[in-house]
Amino acid sequence: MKIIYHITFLAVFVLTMSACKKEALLDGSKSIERSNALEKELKTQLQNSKDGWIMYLKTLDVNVKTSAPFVLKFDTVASKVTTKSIYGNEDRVSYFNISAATGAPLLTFSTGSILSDIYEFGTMDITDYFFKVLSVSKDVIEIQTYRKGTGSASEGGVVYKMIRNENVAWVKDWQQETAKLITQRQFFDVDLKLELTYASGEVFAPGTIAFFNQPAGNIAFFKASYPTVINNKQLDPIEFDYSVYFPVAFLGYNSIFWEVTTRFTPAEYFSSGPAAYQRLFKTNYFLIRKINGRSIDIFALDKEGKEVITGKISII
Amino acid sequence: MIMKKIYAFVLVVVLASSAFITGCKKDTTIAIDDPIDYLSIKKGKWNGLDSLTDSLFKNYGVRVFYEFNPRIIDPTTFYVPAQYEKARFYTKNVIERLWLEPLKKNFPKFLNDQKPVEFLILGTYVHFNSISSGLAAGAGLNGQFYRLGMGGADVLPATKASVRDHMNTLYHEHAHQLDQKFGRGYAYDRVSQGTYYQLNYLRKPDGTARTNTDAQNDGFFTPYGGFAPEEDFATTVESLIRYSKAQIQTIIARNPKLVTKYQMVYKFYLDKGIDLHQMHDILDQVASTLPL
Repeated sequence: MKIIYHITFLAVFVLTMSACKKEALLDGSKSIERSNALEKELKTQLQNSKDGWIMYLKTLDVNVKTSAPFVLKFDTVASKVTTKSIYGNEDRVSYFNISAATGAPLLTFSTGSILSDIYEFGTMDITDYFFKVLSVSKDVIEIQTYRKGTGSASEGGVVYKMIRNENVAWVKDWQQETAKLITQRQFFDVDLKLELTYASGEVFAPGTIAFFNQPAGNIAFFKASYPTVINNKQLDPIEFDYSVYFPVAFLGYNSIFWEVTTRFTPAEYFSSGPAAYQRLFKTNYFLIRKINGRSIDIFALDKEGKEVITGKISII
Repeated sequence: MIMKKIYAFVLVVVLASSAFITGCKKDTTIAIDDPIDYLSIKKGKWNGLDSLTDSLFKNYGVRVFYEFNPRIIDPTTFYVPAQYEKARFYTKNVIERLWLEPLKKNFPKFLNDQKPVEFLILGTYVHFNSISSGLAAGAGLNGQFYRLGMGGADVLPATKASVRDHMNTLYHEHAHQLDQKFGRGYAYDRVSQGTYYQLNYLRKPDGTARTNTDAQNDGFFTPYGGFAPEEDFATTVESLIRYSKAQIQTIIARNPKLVTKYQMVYKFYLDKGIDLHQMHDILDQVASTLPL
């Protein structure tokens, strides 16, 4: 009995003495503090990488094993972001905002950008131009699309890792060629051999391909009406033939690529044709490493920036 | 028993003293935290367009938005912002030179009373509920009082003819706003009651395309005007901005219903301080002198 009394007394005594300590009310100030700290760190890191940050975008096609790189250079003083991608060499400049949001800062590409073009066109996995900033470090910034592209979908789309563009091996390879493929006429209207080697060990039997110019009327249509061409002045639409297919392809910044869309017809040009290439080549683009006299060295990357396809296009 | 009494006594004393001395520390006033603005935007250095939109706001009272963020568009609207250069072109030539400046100079009462306080420039088209919905330039977005918005800034050619033509659409969209605000009226809806084409407005029953003249013979200014009464009203305004007074006289001679609608709409606007025929001429004149 005594022991029980002792224990009861001690317990009540301790409770009485400690009961009045109050925790700070949950007023959101912690969340603001954390968000502000993350925002400050975000600005610092965005600005700190002089060659920018690399973001890899995938198509929605499961046949495609590669991701297309977008190099984003941020100027946090002028709030401008410059993009280098298969679509163009830093010819796209847009503005960005950093705002507070619930729990995480929000990075918004606030004027029209290549990202908003692709988002609206629906050819890749990007579903917004508002991004929640999930984490910031010296080498990686994790961002997530805020919306999923429809009003009824839950919040939060794909999480992207923006990698600091420093000592990234393939970047130099991609940026060395200064000649534009469209001006290298020896590669047009002739039979070319396409050879591809896959890091995964898959085998591609070399095949014959050919590049042709699009007629002037088609080019005028692309410039006026085709979403990713309207604002990307460096793109040249061409016809890219292989086997029984002859879809539209684009020559961009040291790149050859194609897009699958059902917004335009005929399907052979815009949807079934390019979709066949994604199935056969397992990629939606090739980056150009070097244009030689009679051949072109090409490659493609996965979502980690690893070279997973290495290839060569040569005049037969 | 003594032990128990001592315990009890000590307990009572401790409880009482803790209650009296420390109490639970109370704040003398109730602290109310400032509301947290989760959407606040920290705007850095201003660019040229920021200065231009600010001067438009000060001169005309209309705030132009060209940058989109969750403060400007809510999560169920999927508009895409315009390219910066296109937005700057649009703001200078369409909003300032063709819309606000002529209104302020010629019809200040109309501008003052009927202007939207916000104007949204869309790069492409109006998407509600989903990014892949719709290709409309302004529908729906303009069925509200305070904000007018126009789509297609990225694809608007930088020519005098294109921006002049765009003004017809802008007045069409603004007409939807005035329709929401005042109502086009019971009488207006009775003029063509029962004869609207509804969704078949583009084609005639025989499958051929319906021309403006076809629609005008039926009592609508354009085929789209025959879609429904609200578009009938808006396309009437649009036509009064698109055509000269003489052209309008020719058009309305095709059907007495057009005469009635013309008189109603012309007066509706005149009562609010603007003569649409004069505005047509002013827009032609201003557009012809644009530095394009």
